[in-house]
Amino acid sequence: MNIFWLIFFRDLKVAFKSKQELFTPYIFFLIVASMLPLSLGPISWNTPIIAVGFIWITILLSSLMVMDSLFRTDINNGTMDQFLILSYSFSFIILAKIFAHWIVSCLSLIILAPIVAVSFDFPTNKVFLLIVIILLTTPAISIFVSIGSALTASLQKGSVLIGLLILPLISPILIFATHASTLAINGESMSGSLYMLSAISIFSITFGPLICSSSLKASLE
Amino acid sequence: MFNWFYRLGSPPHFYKLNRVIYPWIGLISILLIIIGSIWGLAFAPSDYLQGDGFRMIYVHVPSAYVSMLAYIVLAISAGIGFIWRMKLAHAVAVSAAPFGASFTLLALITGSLWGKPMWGTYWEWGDARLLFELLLFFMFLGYILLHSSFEDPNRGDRVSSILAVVGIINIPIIHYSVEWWNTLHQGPTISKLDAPSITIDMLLPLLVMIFGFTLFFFFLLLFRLQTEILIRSSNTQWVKSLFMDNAND
Repeated sequence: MNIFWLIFFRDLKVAFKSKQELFTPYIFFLIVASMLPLSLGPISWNTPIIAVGFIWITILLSSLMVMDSLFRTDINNGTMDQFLILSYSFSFIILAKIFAHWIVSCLSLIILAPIVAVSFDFPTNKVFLLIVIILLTTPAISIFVSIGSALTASLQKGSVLIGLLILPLISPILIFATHASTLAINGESMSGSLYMLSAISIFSITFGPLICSSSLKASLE
Repeated sequence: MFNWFYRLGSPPHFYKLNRVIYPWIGLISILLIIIGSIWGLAFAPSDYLQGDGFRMIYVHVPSAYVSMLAYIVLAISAGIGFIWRMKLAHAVAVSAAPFGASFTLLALITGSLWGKPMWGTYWEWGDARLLFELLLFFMFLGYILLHSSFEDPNRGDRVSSILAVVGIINIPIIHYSVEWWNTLHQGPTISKLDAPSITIDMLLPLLVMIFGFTLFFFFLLLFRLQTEILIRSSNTQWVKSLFMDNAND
């Protein structure tokens, strides 16, 4: 089997073996959902626009939380050094790892986001559009967060930094994602936003692994 | 062809050149800022809508402009440093970051002071321009924090330069946010390609101020670069001989 898929399935296996890491995003997602009404008190919560804001902020936070361990375990047990001396493109290895991580983290979002959205009175017939938007946006978010993870990979307390480094860079993606979701609620034509989100995702999938691999090389050399 | 470039990249050569250049840049910038301030604050006509309150433009616009310029300088020099492994370029990036953060903070503070009498609020979270200027501040802080958290300065240079280069995607968004999201912040006054929407009496002092602020930023950058070069090459022969010569004088 191709090395790309070998690493991809290895990472999936590792992710599905540790139940704690697999289920933390689900619980985190729901915990934040229940903390949000408490933090703002008795206002009208069942408005779709709040669901949009809530879903995107939780996607950001949970992807930041999950991605911290993306490269660090491999660096600590020496696997990353083996990847580096492999006669195979290091960027593709990184892409395989990010892809596996995206599958694991996106799965939880695809399952939970519609349920939470509907609970905020998100229009039921528009929920599949929300899933499409999440599917188009999360690759770019995953790529950017893994860039942050690669930049801080060799630091002991790097996980605190990732949010500060990466959230300003993700903000444009967030704007387009929120815009698309709002258009979906209002039932307006959203093809422009979807094209834009796909373009952003393709752009980041193309350049992200290169940036990740060069920053990993720079921090490990 | 690139000989001048490589010579500029050599720390001792640049140090000696810079010693001559930076006091002049500082002098010219301070003269320009003094001329611009007096012209803008005392002689320019007051705005028919905002009265004398519009004079905040002479501090706010130049510092906002310099904050973006500082990030571009930071990103380009970090990129040069990463690609050609040029130590001087990394030194430029590291020296630019704190001043970029300072000018961004200045733009935010003057903007919110200007916002209170004109918009009735110090801060408007819904405004894209304010939000992105704040994010620019965090981008400078992120660069500084990431760079300082590496114990090995060479590694810190290389890793944080990647962050700086990736962050440049946000600069056009900050610049065009006023046009893309039509919110509280007024549109651009002078960066439009057609005729500027400001009278020449108000525009000239503003241009003087922008030019003065830009030169002042480069003066600060070069000033700090002197120290940065000395710190980075403190073990080299030319720094030792430089201080020996000074001691002998």
